[in-house]
Amino acid sequence: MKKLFLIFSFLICAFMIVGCKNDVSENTNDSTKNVVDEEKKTDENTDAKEDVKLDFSGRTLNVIATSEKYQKLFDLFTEKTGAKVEFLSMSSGDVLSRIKAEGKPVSDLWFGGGLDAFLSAKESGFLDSYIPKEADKVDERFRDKDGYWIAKGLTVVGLLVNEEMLKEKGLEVPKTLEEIKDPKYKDLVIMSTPEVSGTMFAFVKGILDKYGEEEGYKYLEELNNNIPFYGKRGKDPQEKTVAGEFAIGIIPIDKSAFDAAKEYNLTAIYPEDGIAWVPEGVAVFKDAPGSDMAKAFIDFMLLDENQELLAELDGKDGNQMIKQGVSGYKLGLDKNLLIDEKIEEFGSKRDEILNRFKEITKDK
Amino acid sequence: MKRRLLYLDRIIIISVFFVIFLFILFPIIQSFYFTFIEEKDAFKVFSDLIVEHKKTIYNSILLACLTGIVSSIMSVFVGLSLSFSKGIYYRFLKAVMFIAMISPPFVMSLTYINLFGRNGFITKEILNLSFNPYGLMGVLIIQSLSYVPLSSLMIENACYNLNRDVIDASFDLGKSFFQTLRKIVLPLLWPSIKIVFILNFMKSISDFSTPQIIGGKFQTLASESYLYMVTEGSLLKACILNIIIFLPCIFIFYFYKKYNDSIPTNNYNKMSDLKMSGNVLRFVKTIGFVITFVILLEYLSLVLEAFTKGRIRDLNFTLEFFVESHMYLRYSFLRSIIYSLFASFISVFLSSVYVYAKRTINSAFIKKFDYISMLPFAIPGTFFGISYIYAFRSYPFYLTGTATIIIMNMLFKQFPLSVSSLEDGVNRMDMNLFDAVLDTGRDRIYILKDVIVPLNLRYIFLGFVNTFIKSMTTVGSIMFLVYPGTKLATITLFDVINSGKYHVGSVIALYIILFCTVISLICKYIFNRLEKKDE
Repeated sequence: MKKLFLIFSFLICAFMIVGCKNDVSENTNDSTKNVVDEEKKTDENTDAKEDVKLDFSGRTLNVIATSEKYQKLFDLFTEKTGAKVEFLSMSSGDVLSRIKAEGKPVSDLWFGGGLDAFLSAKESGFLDSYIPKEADKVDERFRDKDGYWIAKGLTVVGLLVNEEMLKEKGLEVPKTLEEIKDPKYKDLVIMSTPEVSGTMFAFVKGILDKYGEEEGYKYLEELNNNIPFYGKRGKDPQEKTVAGEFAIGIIPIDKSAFDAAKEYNLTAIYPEDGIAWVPEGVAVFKDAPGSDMAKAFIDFMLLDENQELLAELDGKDGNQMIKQGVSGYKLGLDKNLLIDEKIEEFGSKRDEILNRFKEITKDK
Repeated sequence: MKRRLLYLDRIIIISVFFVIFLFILFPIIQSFYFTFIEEKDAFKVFSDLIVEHKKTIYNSILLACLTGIVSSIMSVFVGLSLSFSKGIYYRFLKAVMFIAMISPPFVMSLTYINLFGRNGFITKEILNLSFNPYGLMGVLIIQSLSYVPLSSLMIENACYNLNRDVIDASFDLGKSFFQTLRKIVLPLLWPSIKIVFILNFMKSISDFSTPQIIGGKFQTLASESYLYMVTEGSLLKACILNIIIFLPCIFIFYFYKKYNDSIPTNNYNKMSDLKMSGNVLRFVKTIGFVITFVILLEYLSLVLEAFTKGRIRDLNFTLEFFVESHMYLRYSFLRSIIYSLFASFISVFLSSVYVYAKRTINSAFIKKFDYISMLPFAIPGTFFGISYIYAFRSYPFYLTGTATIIIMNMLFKQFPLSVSSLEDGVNRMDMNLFDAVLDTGRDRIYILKDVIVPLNLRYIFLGFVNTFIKSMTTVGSIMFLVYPGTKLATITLFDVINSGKYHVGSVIALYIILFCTVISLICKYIFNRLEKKDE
């Protein structure tokens, strides 16, 4: 009888511990709600003092980031403000579907992702607006005028070329976008599908903005003939070009591309006739328990030294950062080559462009 | 006193059944409800999707059938090799199969490209072929190879259950190995082979990661459903595609239950002492060896990926990826372990009470309920995850974003296996023992405490270890349930691989494999000690 009781109580404890785990996280969420309300009241006072020491100790900032590599930046934020940072990698489409399905934000801060998803979220009312303190130092193209999103940097599109493979086939190395649609490169080109990859969507949009719609879709049709299938993941083209499966990968170019090129004897190229680009969005979720911390993070991110760190973590050339004067890595990006893109259309024309693209590429 | 225990017995049983219903059937019901009833134009979206994805549906079913066939054939070869081997060679085969059962997601597809791609180690360096690894062929090979470990162990077990007398008689009558195999062994193994086919069919049709990485143009319903979540952010479409996968699974599941119930499990005869020889035997053992070797090669390739850099010709040993991985694993690895342990412990409790109830209470309701408890076998992982979102996103069961929803999901996905494992043991028990407890005047619940649990520790440990391993390596179902504060190791792995950090991914995979192996060995040790104590 005693033994039975012991076993039973152990199991009840086990259940309680499991239950408690959630209670703890829910409790902190409740307490943060209270703090947010209080902070709202004291906001008017703190606005006057510029140098307020932020203290978020005991609280957790939840972040959706595009990758795990931002640990260092988040650690610095923790050092400065005492807030613990938990982050999760999720694709932008996933984020949207989770908010719609669960009726609540997945996190406090959305750090990086396809701009089209940010525009869609803005329209659906999922985002909070915030004009950061140093907004005037950021180029207009790289932030939302109403403050719903701001860029953390630009992703630019370039080519990763396997020169050996091309030499074996007697082909020259392409240096421009115009060249890669040439039929001599048939079956040697790979890119990810723009449905999944925000960068490739920017590439498609960049082509349409560069050549105009008619010519642009014609270009895509011709390029399609050189591509046997479209990668279903963002990193597919880089992986597969490195593995020697393809000779020309259309990829987001950053330091990791240059590093992979060096390690595996490939060449990373900025196309000389125009570079497609897309801002990587950062936004705060509406009604998130830690939205005050998220806003503080945006200010934190815009500080010069953190912009440098961000450039280092992302492997970006200084010209890919949104603030003037950040040096970053010297990768040779000429910012005058950036295609003149209509960023607002990233949201409004997304469905139209993707449908047209699907027609052209018929189940590849 | 007696009354209290009687109520205790009833309360525990009712709560367990309620929990099983809540976490298995309820989510499915909710998914169907929200997909078809709440959503307007649901049937139109449904039929439009079916028409749009005719090719994908065909691909999924074709792949599943082919994988089922190929993996069954491979498992028979390896299973037979296992049962006819002994000594060190046997232990080598068994060890490879055990480690290969712990297969973290994605990594096999990636090592496959390393070995069999256009520039693959085997295809280019050794065989000097230029082989296109993408498409149906590639996915078929990878899936079949990854299902072989578990399936071959099932076939081996089935061999031990064969009636030795008949086989001995056959040899005594002078029949060759091939004739015995053809006329006796294979026909007797046939029900188990059918089971293996069904299980692998269901696994293949639910697999979303392999077609994504090496499918190329060949995509399946599972990979497309994941894409809908990622690109359009459409939970509805992802759910519908998953329901389309679910339907054939449910249909086949019925056959699974029928065949499974007809397999005898009471014997245990080793076959390795039979004096056999002949070319056919050698052929079977060779093929078995080749398959095992290829599987081993994949894991070795993983180790290489983790600790070396550069092309095959000039590899440099490095620890940089090992060091880098710690940054990624910081919180998520420990969290995976804790959640998996919780899932395993609770699963042991729930399955014991469930089997106890099944065996001691004669009720038609409980027999029908069995279908519910076995249901997760047929539910594709991604569907199981999506249905939990539908089920637990509002009161009274508001669990989204918590640790509980993930633990329950991991637990119940493996519930059927824990239950089958325990039932295997209970089936071998002498039913008189149950009566003996009641005869001494004690209450029914003591059957659970004094008979079922102590005499089936082996099966309980098996269920525990299996739930632990599968929970550590699951990704499809929990992918849609994780929040920043509940991130797990496999999600980190998924992200790292998506970022192209192959090498770090291999380190993480090795960590998972290592840890699962350690836990299995610890459990084995504890179990052996407990057994020794009894003697």
